[in-house]
Amino acid sequence: MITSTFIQGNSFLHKADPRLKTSILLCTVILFFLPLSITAMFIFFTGLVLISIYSLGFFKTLLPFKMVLPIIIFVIILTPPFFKDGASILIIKNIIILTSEGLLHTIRLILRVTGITISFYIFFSTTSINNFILALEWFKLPYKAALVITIALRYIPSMVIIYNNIQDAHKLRSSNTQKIYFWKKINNLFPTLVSVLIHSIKSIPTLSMALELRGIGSATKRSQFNIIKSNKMILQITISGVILLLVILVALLI
Amino acid sequence: MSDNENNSSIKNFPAFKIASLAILIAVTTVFTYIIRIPIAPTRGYINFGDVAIFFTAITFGPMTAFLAGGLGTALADLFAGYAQWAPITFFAHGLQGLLIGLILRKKINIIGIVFSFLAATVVMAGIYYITAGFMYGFGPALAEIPGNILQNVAGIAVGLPLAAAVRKAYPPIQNYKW
Repeated sequence: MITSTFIQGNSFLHKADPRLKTSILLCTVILFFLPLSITAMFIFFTGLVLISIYSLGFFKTLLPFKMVLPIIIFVIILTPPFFKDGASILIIKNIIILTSEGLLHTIRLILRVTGITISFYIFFSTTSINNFILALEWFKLPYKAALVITIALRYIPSMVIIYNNIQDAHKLRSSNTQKIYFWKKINNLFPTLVSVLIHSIKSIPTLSMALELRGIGSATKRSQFNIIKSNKMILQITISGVILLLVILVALLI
Repeated sequence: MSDNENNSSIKNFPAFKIASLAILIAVTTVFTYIIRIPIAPTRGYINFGDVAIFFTAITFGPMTAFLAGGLGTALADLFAGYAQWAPITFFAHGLQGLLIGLILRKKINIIGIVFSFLAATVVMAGIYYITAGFMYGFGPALAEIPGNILQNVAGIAVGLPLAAAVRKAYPPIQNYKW
């Protein structure tokens, strides 16, 4: 099971501060919802694709396109019929299939959904989950919330192993292990889920006692091993990066 | 001290809340990965995440269901490569869990089950529809609705018996609600 989308690399995006990247990601998503011209949207979209190719490589950049392809097909099929304004581009047997307005709106929607998908893809491919959580903590996410997510991330792989072991054990108890049909699989799933849940829930008191022993819940302020150094330079870069993006946005809107 | 007394006293500690939330988030994420039936239009998938949400809402209460359901499914989206949906998923499934937990908090009867199913379906499918509508148009977004309803049907059909089975097999769980 994949529990990290981070791709090792040495690009400027890999080295960039996660707080700056988080802020820019937010601005990028907002940008694709603004009433920009198709040209402006296309320039931003092309910029994102080029950044992705430079940071992650050509073939890895194709992945978000592959994921978003079914949505694009549906947008192409279902969007134009709702737009009857503008010059007719495609008419079949006196029925207007595509107008200039419909074409522009379809392109806008495709650029929006692909642009947002590729933005998130670039972010999570160049930022580790731990750095993302540290960035969120810097943006005032409570320590306890960050701790919950961190513990959950540690538990997910071991829970998958537990699930596989329990499923194997249940398979051994079934009469026919050579051919397990679909209905049998579904039938086997319920006791497996019960066992996995009981096993997981039984670990709650042990985990909570371990956390108590480590001082979780005490009023004393905790120190942290992993932190993002909050020096003035990084803060300035973050603020100026966001301001720069906002200025570009305003300029494009005007 | 008996197991029940021990469990009912520790559940008031912040560490217990952190531990139970972390475990249930992990459970929800794993359940979302167990069965994934792809749905053609949007390459989304029907999963067992809703089963985990129904189970958490009934067994642990509304707030736990909101946080564990929301964060668990959002993490699953993140790992599956649908990171752009993760913030929306957090609210859609989080509110779904919260509503089920609130409606079925006092007593689980047939009216409550039907009402919680309807409320959860409307809120979850509604949030996804509106967001997808803004993102890539309300026409294509319609294609997602049947899948979301089907997912909730699976959630209630498996989640309720699952909660009953776990309660029967492990009675101390009744003291874990907070």
